[in-house]
Amino acid sequence: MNDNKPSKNYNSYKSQLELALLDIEKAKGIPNEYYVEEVCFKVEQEKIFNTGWFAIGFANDLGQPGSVIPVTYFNNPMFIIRSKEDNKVRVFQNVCRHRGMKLIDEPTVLKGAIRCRYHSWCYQQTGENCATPHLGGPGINFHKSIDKKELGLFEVRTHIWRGVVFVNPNGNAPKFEDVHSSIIKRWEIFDQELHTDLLGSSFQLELNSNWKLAVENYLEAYHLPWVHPGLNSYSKLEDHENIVNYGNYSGQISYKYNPIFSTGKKFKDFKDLGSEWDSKGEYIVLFPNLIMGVQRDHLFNNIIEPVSSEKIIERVQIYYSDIKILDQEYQSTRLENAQLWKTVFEEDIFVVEGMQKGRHAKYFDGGRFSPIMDVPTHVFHDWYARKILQY
Amino acid sequence: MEDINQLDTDISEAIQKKQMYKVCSLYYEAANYFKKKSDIEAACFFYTQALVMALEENHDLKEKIINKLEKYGRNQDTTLN
Repeated sequence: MNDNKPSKNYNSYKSQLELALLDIEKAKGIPNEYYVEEVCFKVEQEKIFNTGWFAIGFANDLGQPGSVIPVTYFNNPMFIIRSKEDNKVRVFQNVCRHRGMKLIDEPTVLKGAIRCRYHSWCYQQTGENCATPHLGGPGINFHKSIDKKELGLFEVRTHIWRGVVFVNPNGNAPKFEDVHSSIIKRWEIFDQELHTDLLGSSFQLELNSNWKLAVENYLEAYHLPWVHPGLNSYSKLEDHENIVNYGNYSGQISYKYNPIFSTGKKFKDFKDLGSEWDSKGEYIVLFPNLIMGVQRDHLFNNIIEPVSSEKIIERVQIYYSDIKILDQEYQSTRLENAQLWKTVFEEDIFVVEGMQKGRHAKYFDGGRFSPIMDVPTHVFHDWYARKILQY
Repeated sequence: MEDINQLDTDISEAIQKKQMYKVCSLYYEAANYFKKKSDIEAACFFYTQALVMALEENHDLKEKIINKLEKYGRNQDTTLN
């Protein structure tokens, strides 16, 4: 049986998914199968991840020219590279144009060309094929039938925003700036220099969950009083407001952002924010897989990597407004801040994994939404259903 | 180096130790050895071996190796890093 081919049951999943498109008061959530079945995971791969823009990594992880990081999404091997030639970050399919050998196995810093370990075809860091050794026989490095210019690496369409590397594998999506114009405009005041240290301001979590449940959990404040009692002590449910954009993102606003660290230190605010940001934080998911948060003194991004239909990796990076914040003087405050966010994300693990387990309940019908508290979640389900059903 | 057997051993050792910069230099040496013996086929084989290591290692010998291969008509349209 070919797993790639939707089974006849798949049509019934689709008709249940249509219920997510109803008005929130009548809508049902995305049905179980889209959280547990491999066939649905493969449909998502094509209709969401291959045809649209999604996050795959952090540009900051490629600090040094020549840095290269392999990434695999939906079994599609790619690598991100900051080329020594022009310092530009690019993404390529991680495959040699000769016999299809995977080129990069682990993060490294390249001194020169990318060499395939099989027959040593070489590629410049900008993707051009620069050597086809012994192609025309021993010691003869060309052949009239082979044009090296046509055998460079497959470049993946890439865009970098807020330190995040996004890709559009099939290359046909509208421009990133057009797709995400609304959030780019909303947060343009934060288009400032971002500074991060990879050790103190990054962490990673692994969850036994479908990627959509991590998205859904982050979108709403409804669960805060029960799941994050610590957070709720200074940011109560009534201090939150939904961010509703029936488009490519949704989330919540907190009006009580007031960080207090045990060190007594404060991080410098981003420039020229205006008083509205004194106590405001905004937390959204840029669909499909980037969790984001902005506050006056730091931002964070959390990339959700779907490993399988029931496993994800979350990679979080925190950014500050001033390079001085990366000094030793702020180290313990940075670590405390990172730990605070790590605790928040860790507190969510049991509910995200619990929902995943619940999605195996045969008669669960996708669930109903609170028309007041669950609007951002409904925005996501609506977006998802439109993508999958191609409306 | 006139002892090709020793050179062969050195290349194997350097490959084992992943000393690719050294591997490139040794291949280049081997190529020059065969060139001196007027065995151009063998020389070009080793220049080619040296070439890929030079490209990967961004080796100082890179341009010299390309020039040799082009001189013997074994490389076309070589692009440098």
